[in-house]
Amino acid sequence: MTTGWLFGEYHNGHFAPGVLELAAHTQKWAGVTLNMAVLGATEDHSTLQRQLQGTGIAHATLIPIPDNATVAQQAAVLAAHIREVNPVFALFSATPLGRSVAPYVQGLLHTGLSADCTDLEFRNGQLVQTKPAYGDNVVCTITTTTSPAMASIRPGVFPAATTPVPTPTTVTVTPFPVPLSQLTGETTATAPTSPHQPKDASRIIALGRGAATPEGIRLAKQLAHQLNAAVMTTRPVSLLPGFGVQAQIGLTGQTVHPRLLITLGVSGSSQFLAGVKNTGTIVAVNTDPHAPIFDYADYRYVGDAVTFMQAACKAW
Amino acid sequence: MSIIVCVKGVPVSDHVAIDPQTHHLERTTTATHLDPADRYALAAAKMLRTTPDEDIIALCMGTPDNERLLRTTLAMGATRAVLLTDKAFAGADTLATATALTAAIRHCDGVRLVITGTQSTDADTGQVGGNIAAQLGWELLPNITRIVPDEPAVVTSQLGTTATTVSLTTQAVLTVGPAATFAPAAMTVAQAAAVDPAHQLQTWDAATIGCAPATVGQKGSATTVTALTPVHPTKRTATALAEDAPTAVDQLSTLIQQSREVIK
Repeated sequence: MTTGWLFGEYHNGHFAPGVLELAAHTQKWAGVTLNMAVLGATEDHSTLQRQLQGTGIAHATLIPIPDNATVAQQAAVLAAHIREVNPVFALFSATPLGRSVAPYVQGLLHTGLSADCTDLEFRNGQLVQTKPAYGDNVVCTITTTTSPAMASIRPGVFPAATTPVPTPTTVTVTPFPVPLSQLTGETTATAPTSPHQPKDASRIIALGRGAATPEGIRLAKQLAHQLNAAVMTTRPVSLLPGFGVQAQIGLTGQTVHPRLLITLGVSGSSQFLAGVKNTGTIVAVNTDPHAPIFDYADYRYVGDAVTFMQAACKAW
Repeated sequence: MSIIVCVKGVPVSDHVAIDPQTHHLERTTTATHLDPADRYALAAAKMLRTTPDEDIIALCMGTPDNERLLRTTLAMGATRAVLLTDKAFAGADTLATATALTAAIRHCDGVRLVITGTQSTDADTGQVGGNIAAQLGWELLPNITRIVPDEPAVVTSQLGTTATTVSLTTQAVLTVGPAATFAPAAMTVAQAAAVDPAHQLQTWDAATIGCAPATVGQKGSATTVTALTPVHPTKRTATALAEDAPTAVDQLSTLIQQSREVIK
């Protein structure tokens, strides 16, 4: 039996993006028992028990922690739990918090960590990590020589589990000493948007110069709302007000990996294409039948983007 | 008292030269520049100074040609620069890098803050700052977006949609990057002319900072890259949709439906 560990990042009664999907992914690994650590309040016990039904996670330890615990405090507690469980691997979802806590835990345990992985396998008793580097232009395959092998995985990479697993999860509440923090401050939630940044969206509508008229932008936002998608842009369009580098797809902007990408008026420059290498299905709309984007798309529509979007808003 | 800013040289473009055997970046043959996030780190250091003569030390672990980058930092507000260079540091993963940098930080006197970039553009790990904080036993304040200079300074750390604002009353490692609301550090001609490497720049090796060779570089690394594969956008064969927009949109309706079912 191989023991694995997972940080069950949990806020306001919900697991953070990617956590349960990561747990579901490890179910494919034969002979692995997963232990999850959840930082929270003792009152969360029964809700957690219910939410973990069907996930196949063998054990979950709820560790009480004060509100507004610092990264250092959370990491200290998680590291202590990892030492107790003594797993072969320790996994985090690469959420903003996960990407800060994991390296701190790594430093405390003095072990290897691969952050922001796009795939994970368990072969011959080893965690095999896949992660992009150099602006997503290369893919590295990594193994770890120390124990536990740590990795964080991009939310959205693994799909949600579809079949409930009958294994019941035992949820125990175990306190660990929380180190004192010298920092005093307050935590506030900022603009309540979806937990993902536009670049982490599963569905993206990309606007290029050919479609970025006021009407085109309005329709794109409407379509995005209907599809629960993010609106992103090519580099020139990102310079328009309301977009910026966070919305820009490409070499000097964001790398995206949605399941579905619809490009509107995007010609398909190599610097744009560099940002969409790991995309699922691409639907390209352009008035120019020779636009390079059509060589990299799964569906092509030669025609006006506004007309296309009007029809899409009616139908989808 | 001093503030340390950890800086790094990264490839200018994505056309990198990679050693086919070791899978490591060939760092001496690839054109490099200061990682963009480090300019924000330097700007943060200048805002967080409590006295005008507090030292801002730019610290870089790298090959000797990184001296050029450190001279740049001296023209951007750093008062001292330290190049950590030694064959023993080569091939370091994030753990070995953090170990070496931590030893160098401990070798400096009166360090009250360490500032790093959030994530460099080459390896994209975003780990070293957090790891250093753990090895130092200090608090970590990631992704600082706002600084109010004061004594103590008030900083805002942004993780996703959660903003945490604290008074900097203790030693801490801060990470800063392009999400910051303040401008990155820039060079002026006057500052560049005033740089005096002979007095401001030092070179340290593993022995100077008391690093056991087994804890740094390739030997001190816990991860191994077993394969490195370039990724090119793959050409696809597009299915042509109808010329008529409503028909074309209908043709895609199954795809859209499936997309809705699979993803939340």
